[in-house]
This record gives sequence, C-alpha cells and structure tokens, in this order.
Amino acid sequence: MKTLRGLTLTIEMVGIIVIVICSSILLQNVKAVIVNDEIEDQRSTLEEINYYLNTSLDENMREFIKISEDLEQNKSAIDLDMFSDMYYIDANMRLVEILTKDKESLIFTGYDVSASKLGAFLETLEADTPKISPMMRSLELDTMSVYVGLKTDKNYLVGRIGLEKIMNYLKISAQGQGAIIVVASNDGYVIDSTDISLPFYVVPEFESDTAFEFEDYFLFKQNNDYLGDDLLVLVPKTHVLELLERINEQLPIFFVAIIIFVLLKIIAQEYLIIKPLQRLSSTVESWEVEVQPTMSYKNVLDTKEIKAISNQFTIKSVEIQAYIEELNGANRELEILNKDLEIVVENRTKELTDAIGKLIQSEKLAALSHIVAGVAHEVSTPIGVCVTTNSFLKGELEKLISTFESNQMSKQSLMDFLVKLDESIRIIDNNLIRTVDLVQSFKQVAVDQVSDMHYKFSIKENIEMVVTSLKHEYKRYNVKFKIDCSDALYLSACPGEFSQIFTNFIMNSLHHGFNKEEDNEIAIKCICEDKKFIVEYWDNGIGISEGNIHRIFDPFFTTNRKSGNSGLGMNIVYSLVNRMSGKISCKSGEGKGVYFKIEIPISEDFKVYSEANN
Amino acid sequence: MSKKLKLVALFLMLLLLSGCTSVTKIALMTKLESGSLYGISEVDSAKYYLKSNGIDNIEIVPYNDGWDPERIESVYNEIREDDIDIIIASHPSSCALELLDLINKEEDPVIVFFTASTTDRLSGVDDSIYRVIQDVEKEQKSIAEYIATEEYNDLLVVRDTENYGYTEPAEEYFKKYYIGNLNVIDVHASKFNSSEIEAVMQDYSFDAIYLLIGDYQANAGVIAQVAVKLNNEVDIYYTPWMKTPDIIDTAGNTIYQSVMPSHYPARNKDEEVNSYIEAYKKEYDYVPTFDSLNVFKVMEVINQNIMQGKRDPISMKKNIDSIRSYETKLGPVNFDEFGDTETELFFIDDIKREFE
Repeated sequence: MKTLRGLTLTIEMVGIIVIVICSSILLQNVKAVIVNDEIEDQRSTLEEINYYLNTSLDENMREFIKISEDLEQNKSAIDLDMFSDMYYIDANMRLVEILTKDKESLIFTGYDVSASKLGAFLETLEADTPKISPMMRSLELDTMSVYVGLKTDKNYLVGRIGLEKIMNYLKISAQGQGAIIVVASNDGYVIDSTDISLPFYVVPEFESDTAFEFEDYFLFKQNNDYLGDDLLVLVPKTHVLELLERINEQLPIFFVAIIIFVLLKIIAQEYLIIKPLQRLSSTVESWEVEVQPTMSYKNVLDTKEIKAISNQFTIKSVEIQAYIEELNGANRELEILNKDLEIVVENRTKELTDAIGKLIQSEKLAALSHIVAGVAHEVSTPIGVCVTTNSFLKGELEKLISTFESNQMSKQSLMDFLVKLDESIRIIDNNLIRTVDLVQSFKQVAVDQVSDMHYKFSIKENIEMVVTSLKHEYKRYNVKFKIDCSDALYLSACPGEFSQIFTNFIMNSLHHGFNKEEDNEIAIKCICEDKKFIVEYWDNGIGISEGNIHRIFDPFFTTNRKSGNSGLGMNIVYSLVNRMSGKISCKSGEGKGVYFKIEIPISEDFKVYSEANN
Repeated sequence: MSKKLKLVALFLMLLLLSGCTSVTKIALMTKLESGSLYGISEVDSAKYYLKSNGIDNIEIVPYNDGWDPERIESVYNEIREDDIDIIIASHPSSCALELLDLINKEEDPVIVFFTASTTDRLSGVDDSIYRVIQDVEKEQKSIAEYIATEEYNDLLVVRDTENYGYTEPAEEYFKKYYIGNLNVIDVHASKFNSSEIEAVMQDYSFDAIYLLIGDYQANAGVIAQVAVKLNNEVDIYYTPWMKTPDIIDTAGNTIYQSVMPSHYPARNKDEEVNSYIEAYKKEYDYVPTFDSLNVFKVMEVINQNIMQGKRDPISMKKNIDSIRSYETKLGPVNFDEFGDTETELFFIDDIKREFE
C-alpha cells in the first residue's frame, strides 16, 4: 500500500529532477540567447567597421579630387600625406612624374605599368571620373594597395593607399571595439590583420551572415565593396564568457535554494499533514461505533483543513451511528420477510413441478394419440379388404344357395364357388394377419410410450415402428426417410424413451421444418463407437435461426404456439437423454436444415449389442 | 568458424576500418601574409590535388612561416605541438637551413619534403629530408651554360643578399660554370631604392643581366626595368624562383626581352602542365606560382605512400628509399640515395604567355 509520505516524497524528488532538467535547458537557452546577442552586437560592429572603412576611403577620394583640382590650379602648398605614392602616368602607361613617394617605393620615372593590374585598372577609367580600385599587389613595393585613379586630358593621376594605411583605419576601429580586424582575400587567405596573433592561417569557410566560433573568439565576415576582399572581425569571447561564468557561479545557489525549499516543505507536510492524519487514523481505528467518539485528538489538529476533517468526522460518526441503528431495524424486518418468502417460493416451486409433470404426461398422451390415430388408419385398410372380400363371399354364397335350391347347381358352378372361396379366404387371411401384425406392433409402441419397461430391443425396428406409426402424419409432406442402422444393433434400455425421442424429432421436422411442396428428407443414423451409442438425426428443412438454436431445449419454447404446440417436445428429448446420462447437441442455421447428435455412454443400465457379440 | 574466431575477425576488421578512415595530417610551411600569392598558390595546389583525386584521408594544415628564417623555429614547434610529423616546406634555402638544424635536434621521427630549397647543404646527406627540385649546383650549372651560349660581352649579375642560403652558393656555382666576362652587384631584393640601384648599375657596362634573386621577389621586375632604362637592348635572365605572375606586374614590357628558367616545360610545349594550369585557373580563378606544381608533385608522392599504408615518417622513409622512383601527373620524381632529385631545366622566352 502506498503511503502519503512516500507519494509526496516521490513527487518532490521527481519535481526536483524536473526542475533541474528544466533549469539546465533554460540555462542553455539563456546562454544561447547571450551568445546570440553577442553575435548580433558584433555583427553590427563589423558593419560599423566596414562603414567606417568605406567612409575613410570616400574621404581619400574627396581628398584626391581636391588634390587634382589644386594641381590643375598649380597651387603651391598641396598636402599629399593621405597617399603613400602619387604620380602621373602617361597614355603609354609609363610613369612621367612622381608627386610623392613612399621612402621604400621602388618606382621611378619611366617605370612601365602597362602589363600590370594597375595598368588594367587605369584603362577602365572614364575621363574626369575618379575611381577607387580593388585591393591589388602594389607595383611600388611588396605589399597590397588600393589605388585612386583619375583620367585627365593628358594623362592619369594615380594615388596609392597602401595596405598599412587601410590597416591604420581599421586599427582605430579595432581599438574602439576591442576586436581584431583581418583583411582576407575572398578565398580566405589573410592579407593583413590588426593583431598578428590569429587562431588561423587560412580563414575557415563560412557564410558571411553567420558567425564562426573558435575557442576564444567569435569570427564574423563581410565583404568590402571597395577592397573587393573580406573584412573579418575576431571578437574575444571574454565578455560572454564572463557572463556565462557568472551564471554558472550562481547556479549552485539556485539549486541549494530549491533543495532548502523542498526540505522545508517535507518537514512542514510531515508535521502539518502526515502526523495529524496518522493521529486521526489512530482515533478512527480505536473508535467503537456504538460509543460516541471522544474528541481528545482535537488539540493536535491545529490547521484549519485538518480541523475541518476532524469536525466532519465527528458529525459523520454521529450520523453513521443513527444510520446503523436504522439499518439494524430494517434488517430484522427483512429477516421475517425472507422467511415468509421462502415458504411461498417452496409452494410455488412444488406447484410448478406438478404442472410440468402433468404437461409432460399430456405430451406423452399427445404422442400416444398420434400412434392411436396411426393404428386406426393403418388397420382400416386390411380390415376394409376383409369386409369387402367377406361381402363378396356372402354374395357368391347367396348365388350358390339360390342355384342349389333351384336345382340348377352344376358341378362346375360349385367348383367356381370353391375357387372363389379359397381365394377370398386367402385374401382375408392375409389381411387379418397383417392387421394382427400392425396391432401387435402399435400395441408395443403404445405400451412402450407410456411404460418405462427396460428390455433388449432392435433399435432399427424401433425406428421403423415409429416411422410407420407416424405415416399418416407425414404422407402429405413428400418425405423420404433414410435409416442407416445395422439390423444387428440391439440396445438393452427403455425402448419407449427412444420411440418418444424419434417421434418428437420427426414431428418437429414436419411441423417446423418442412414445406409440403418441397422434396423433404429425414436421415437417421445409429452407430456404436468408442463405448458410446450415437444417434444422428438430420433433416433438410428450413432450419433454426441463430437466435433460437440456443433455446430449443428450454421448456415451453416454441415458435408456433398458435398451432397448439406446448414447447415441451425438445425439452422432453433433452430430459430423456439426460436420464440416460447422455448428451445432445444441435447444429442448424436458417435454410440449412437441422442436425441433432445424441451420445449415450454404454453402462450397466444401457447396453449395446451387435450380432457379432450378441 | 568458432565464436572466438569470429570475434577476433570482427576486431581485426574494426581495427582495419578504423585505420582506413583515419586522417593523416600534413603540415604545409609557406608564406601566408600580406596577400602573398606564393603561399595561397601552394595551399590551393595541395587542396586541388586532394579535391581532384577525391582524397579525404589526408588533411593539409597550412602554417605561415613568412619565409622568414627567424620564424621557422616557432612555426616548427607549433607543428610538432599539433602532433604532425609529415611536413611540406616551400620556403627558400635560408629557411631550410634553419629547419635542418631543428630536425637534426629532433628526437621523434619527422619527414620533410622541400619544394623550393636548393641549398647544397641539404645534398649528399641521408636524412629525413627529400627534395623534388635539384640542388643549387646543378641548377646554376644549367643556367650558366645556357647564358654562356649567347656569348655576351659583359654580363651583370645582380645578386640578392637577403636569401643568402641560396644566392651565395648560387653565385659561386654560376661563376664556376659560366664562361665569359661577368660583374656582380648586390641588392637587398625586398627593400631597395631604384635610384640607388640605377646609380650602381650605371658604373657597369652590360649587354645582359642575370637577376640572381630567389623567393619569388617580384621586385626583380623593377630592377629589370632599371636595366632596360640604362640599356634598351639588354637581355634579362631570371632564376627559376621568379616564375610568378607577380613578375608581370613589375617587369612591364621588359618581360619581352627576358628569359625565365623553369622546372617545367613551357605551357605551349607540354600538354600535362598546360592542362594542370588551365584546370587550376578554372578552380581558383588565378594562375598559380610554379612552385605550387612542386607541392602538387610532393602530394602525389606522399599519397602513394599513404595508399601503401606508410603513414608515419619511419615507414614512409623506408618505403621511399626502397622505391625511389615515382610517376606523377606532372612528371617523374627520381630520388637518389640521399633523397635528392635531378631535374631538367627549361628556358622560357615567352614569359607573359605562361601566366595568361
């Protein structure tokens, strides 16, 4: 049996586990949110850096335009500091004049740039429209640069913004953001970075709108329109890690708080619920129903809910006492009524048994009436023949007497009479013998039907006698009988019981199964097998519906009470088979005929003989 | 088969499968900074080899040594900390000499394939170092003999002092095999003043100039332009280590009067090389440096060993020493008993076409 304490403890333990799991999931989600926020922030940072670089390069472009205008106006003081190198290149792509030059720059007047990428860039310029080139390898020294070019009437003005200047712009951004900025080719090769310590030599492949995570850095990528290369921002995870660390530090406090809460809850429910309930339980256990309950436990039940239970128990215990008393009175009345009822039931049962006995007896008599009617019908024919023959003889005798009295009798006429007399006596004799046989046979059946005599008889003859005695019943039904039974098979039993069984089977087939217009068949088979005498009865009638087949052995069950059927026929068969310690089964269905099987075990009271062992 | 035998077979099968699916990491030491095309080209070449052959059990891990001898030790230590013991190094001889010292001190086995270090200090030693290019003596002998056939009156040799590991022995061997009059001037190839070099060169009479510069220093093109400024008819010769598209940017029209020695035939004369360059261009949208072809070649040698189950330096060295000759898509590699190779040099006069 489960205890409240056990159940609540289990629930609380499950609750703690659920809280821990949910907290872990929540924590992971919080961490993910923090990381995602950081990623979003740093993506914005990269956009800002990219924007700042573009703005700086735009500023270079504006300065370049201003310088070009100042140069056209031959101004004396021109500030060229913004560009690492600045020079003119003629239409043949040769350097014609150097305006300013990096101290390490290798270029010189006459330098041929025709085959270079710079040359190719200059050829794309339209007149008087300055343009910034993508990042390319410098002609001036072994580095990468961006060039600003302007095509004028006579030549090209070229300004070089070296990688170091670009990196300077980026360093300013990087310092503000606490990040490392990397310029990388689109293939991922590092061109330069604001810090030499990078966690890679070749940038891992990833989409520009996603972040890449190293152990200590987030990496973001964005293409710069001017450079034609990727700008990367490496952001130390320090800030995020600090936040996550703080969460991890505070997590145990959270769990300890949960555990303290649960412990307090367990203690509270132990003292406020479980113990009061145990005391209440003890009080209920010791309470004798006949005695008014004492309220001594009241003082320990100091919570409102437990007090309510206690009060309700007191009220209900009084009500229960009153109810029990009322119930006791009712019980006593019921006992008296029961005794009266038993007497009534006994009387009614006796009356019912008598009535059933009478009904069974009347059924037997009804069966006998069928036999009597059969006797009358069967005997009438040979008796009629005897009467007719006798009448004929009487006529012939009168004719002979008349001839004798008139002395006209000849020898021939006497002989003729004698022949007729002989023939008539033979006819009468035969018919009388047949009548006697019939009467004997019917007498036997009739006697058997009404008596319980036990003797040895031929089962085949028994069946044939029943069939013969019922001939007047089935002659309008076009019935063919097929009796499969050995002449040598004899039973030592009560033949009347079998006569009644077969009579009821056949009458049921006729009255409930057969249609007079159809070709009707009845088959009866008797065998002895496995120390059992087996009777199989089958007809090809309309059969019994599935709903009725389980009720056919019930007393008074009939589908044709209007025609005067009592509904006891099959019940009598069932009772007779039972009396012989046998069993009967039935199989049927609508339109499938009916099949009965009777199995009677061979015993001292029921013996079977065959010719072989007779 | 009994249950025990089945379990043993299953275990062996799992062991075999786990072996089959393990990835061999190969370090590629190169120059990956300042938009340098060299390193990019080599890394892409190694990746291209893996991709074009559908190989997924080899991983190339690039390391940036900047081709700077002073950075070799820290990068090598980084490689070893990453537990990688197969190295491809594309740096010049000065770096190779630094690396050589580190390898000699190494207790655990390491195998290194050099694709660009020609220094003779690597020659004739049975160590764990293999080279797919010939050493500096053989290279300079070929170049000296080729230039000598033109019978110039005065040849000016401009020698880079930066990559001493290469240029010092190179100058020595060039002088040894060159028959003719020559003068040598020094230049710091990555940082010089064109006016100053012009002033120095003006002191010499020359009808040909040999730019003895390595490291793919594209600034050599600027010196070529200075030379042409001084003598419009001058013939210009480079070393094979100048064969980079960047030279086109700096050399201007002087490229049409220049000759470039190469470890590979001209593209228009060799279908294999040409198809490789075309396929590479299609994949990466640029023409690679020719040193990247050496990386491709080494990758093929290493992969053939890995396919034979030789995944560690000891078994790989043993296998290479016993096989020695490898057929690769870009030509044969024939190691001698010391892990060196002898290759033919080709002289290309239409340099611009090489990088189109």
